[in-house]
Amino acid sequence: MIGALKAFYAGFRGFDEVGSTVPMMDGPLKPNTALDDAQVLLKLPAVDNLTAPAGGLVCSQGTGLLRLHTSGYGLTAAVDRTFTSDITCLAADPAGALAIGLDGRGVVIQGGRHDRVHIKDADGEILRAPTAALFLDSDTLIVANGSAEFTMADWKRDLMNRRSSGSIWRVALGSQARDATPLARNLAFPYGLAPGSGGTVLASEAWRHRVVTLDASTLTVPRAVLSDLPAYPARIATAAGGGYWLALFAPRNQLVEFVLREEAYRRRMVSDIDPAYWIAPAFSSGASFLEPIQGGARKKLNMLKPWSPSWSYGLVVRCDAAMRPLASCHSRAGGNIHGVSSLVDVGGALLVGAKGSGAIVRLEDGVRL
Amino acid sequence: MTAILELKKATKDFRGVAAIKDVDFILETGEIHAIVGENGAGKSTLTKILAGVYQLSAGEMQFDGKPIQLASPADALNRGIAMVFQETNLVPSMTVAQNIYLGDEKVFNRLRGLYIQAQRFLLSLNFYVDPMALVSSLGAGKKQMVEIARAVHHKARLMIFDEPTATLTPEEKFHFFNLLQRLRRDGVSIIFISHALEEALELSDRITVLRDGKVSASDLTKNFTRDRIIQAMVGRSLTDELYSGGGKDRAPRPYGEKVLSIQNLSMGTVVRNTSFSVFAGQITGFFGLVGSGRTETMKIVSGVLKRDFFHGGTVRFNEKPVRYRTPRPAVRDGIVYVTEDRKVEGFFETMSIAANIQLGTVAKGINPLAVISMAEARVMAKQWTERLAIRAIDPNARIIELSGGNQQKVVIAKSAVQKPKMIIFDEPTRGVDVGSIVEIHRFINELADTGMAVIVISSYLPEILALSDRILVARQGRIVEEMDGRTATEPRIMYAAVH
Repeated sequence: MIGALKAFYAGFRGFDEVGSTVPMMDGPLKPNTALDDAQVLLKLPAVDNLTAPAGGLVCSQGTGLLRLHTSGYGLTAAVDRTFTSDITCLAADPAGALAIGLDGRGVVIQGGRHDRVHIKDADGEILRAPTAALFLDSDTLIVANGSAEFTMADWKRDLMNRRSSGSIWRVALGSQARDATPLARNLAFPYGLAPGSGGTVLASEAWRHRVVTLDASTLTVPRAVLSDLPAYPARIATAAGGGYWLALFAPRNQLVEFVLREEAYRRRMVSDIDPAYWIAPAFSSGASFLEPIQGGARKKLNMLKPWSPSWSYGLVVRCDAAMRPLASCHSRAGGNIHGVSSLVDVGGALLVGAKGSGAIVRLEDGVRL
Repeated sequence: MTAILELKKATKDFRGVAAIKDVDFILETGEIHAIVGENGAGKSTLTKILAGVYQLSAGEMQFDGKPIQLASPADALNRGIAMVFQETNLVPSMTVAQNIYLGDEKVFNRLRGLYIQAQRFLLSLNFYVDPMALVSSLGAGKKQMVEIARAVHHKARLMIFDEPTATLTPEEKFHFFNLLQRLRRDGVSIIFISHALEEALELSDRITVLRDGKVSASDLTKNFTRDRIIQAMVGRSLTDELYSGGGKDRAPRPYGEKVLSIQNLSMGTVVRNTSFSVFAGQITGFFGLVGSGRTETMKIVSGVLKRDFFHGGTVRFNEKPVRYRTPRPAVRDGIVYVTEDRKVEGFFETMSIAANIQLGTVAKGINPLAVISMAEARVMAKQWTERLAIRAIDPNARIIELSGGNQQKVVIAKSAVQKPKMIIFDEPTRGVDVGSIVEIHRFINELADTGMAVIVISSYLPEILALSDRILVARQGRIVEEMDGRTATEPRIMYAAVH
């Protein structure tokens, strides 16, 4: 009875009572194969956190911090340092410091004035999933804590439990106690940070499929600048020519949206099934026959149809300074550059780190827009 | 050949203003004669005189070499002159078969027999219309087919078609042209008015061009080119302005904010799980054949139709989910729909230009007390009359007295005064002359340049190509293709619409 009333109310108010519709990838998000066509610079499984500190290029692979060097037409990687936990984020300060987020263990600073500083919590809240960091200046670090309950490795649980316990903090590195000021709370997995205009910070909120803007100095209510995205946003990078690049790591689809509204089903799925086989977005897919499929006829003559619904996808969106999409580069269901999590615009080209497919590709100027 | 009909120094006045003046016109037996001209040039007046709707103020009409005075359309029909009007004149509450045989009934009518007879007759014309369907349930294209079938049924010796192909699909047009050729072979004389100059050049034996109520050119079709017709129509060459370069000579407008997001929208079998987005500051062209659901989709967005109650999808306007039951809240939110059927849905035909335009502000709720100042209305009407170059014999003229193009401009003005955020034009230049087309296109471009989201639904591909920054193609109730306005071509669009 209550269900029927709810359905009636949903119809009366104008929203879909199942809530399983997803926006179309059209206009500036019209699918193409630009990511698949791009030059692969390096194959590196689970590559993440591409960052460009002064005069270099670094990334992470699991627990390892890697330095990247150009070699002919590609890149080579050398392990710089290894940690005891997976690296979840990297941020570079022009003065030489590198903030390194560690899964379940907060953020450590390497180099610069605050070398070896370890920020385990912010105002008492443990930085369990430091998903992104950003230096406002050498003494001020903005940290996004994706979830207060789950580590980064458990991101699927955070989504499937419908949590919104993420937060963003401003940490004063210069103070003795590493004073932390909350900038936003109750976020649904903040996954990327970028400097905004006029003392603001942009943050991607993955589970709410949007990018929000925040005051960089005090706690405010986030304001959406880009919403209703057809995929889950990850990192945001500042574009050399003005505006931003936005990485989106997995597509939204109707089945996942439906499962997210089915309490009992979801609870049993979370308790009984290996997360790799959940009906949930993924950084990569198609490797195991045990994966759930979404309807038949996804393959023809052993070719995966590019428009078929998939758990993973590759998407990079070029946005203007107001975060309005202008163009996009895709790797569709049948493509090879899935799970894009990090980007860096350096040397006149955009380097794209696809964590799911384990590859770094280069988008040339002509391909980018 | 002998002349079946001849007009000598024909003049028709309305309130002392001549709609046509000193027109000489000859129609040969078994000839297809095209009449072209701008809206307000006098084409409709001329053909209505031939069909007995109006009587001449001065001059003479001869039929079969004898002078005649037609008292009414029925009189004309009895003498073998039938007219298919631009705006259909069918009885909406009757079936297709009943409309075809209207006025031709026997004392005892067996409906089943009538339907079988109508079915055979329609199929012989290659018109796929259900004879048992109520006319009110038919779309504009099918109504036109019934109108044509009715004229053919009356075995007229002279048939007059006013914009016969405006609502037909390319395939239906092909059948219609074949039908005209067949009628010509049977000795029927045909006059047809068309704004599609290509049709006049392709189909007719002779073309007469009217301008300002006078014949500006009349010659065999083989002696005309498209540019010569346009020059005769407007006194200048509009070729460069009209559909110039298929819209590829200018940079496309960049994407603005996403204004409208349609997600899995459904309405019965007409709109089927369709999804697309519309952006501010751009013209989004919407193409599809009859039955593709494009008009219905936009009518759902603007509150004219309702989507399925359950699993009907989501419509988000400016980030907010909306479900309009009537157009009024949509208008208040900033969505305006300029209808394809202006006569039925676009204006109040017995009211003046000013009153019609003023009504737009009433719908928007700009004046909450609903106190209407006619002085303000006249000022507003004057501004819009100048901006859109609306030409009327008298500023206080009723809308019904305006030509099709000027009526359309009033409908557009009525919508534009509502200061919308998104405006949907459904067939904005149907039944509109080339001069007005240029003016309407210019206005649509102006709206997009000011940052408004503009949607243009059109069956005419050159129009879609000329206007659109982005083109969506609908087929069988859903969007099947999205194209960039720069790279789209007519074959690509048509391929997507058909296959």
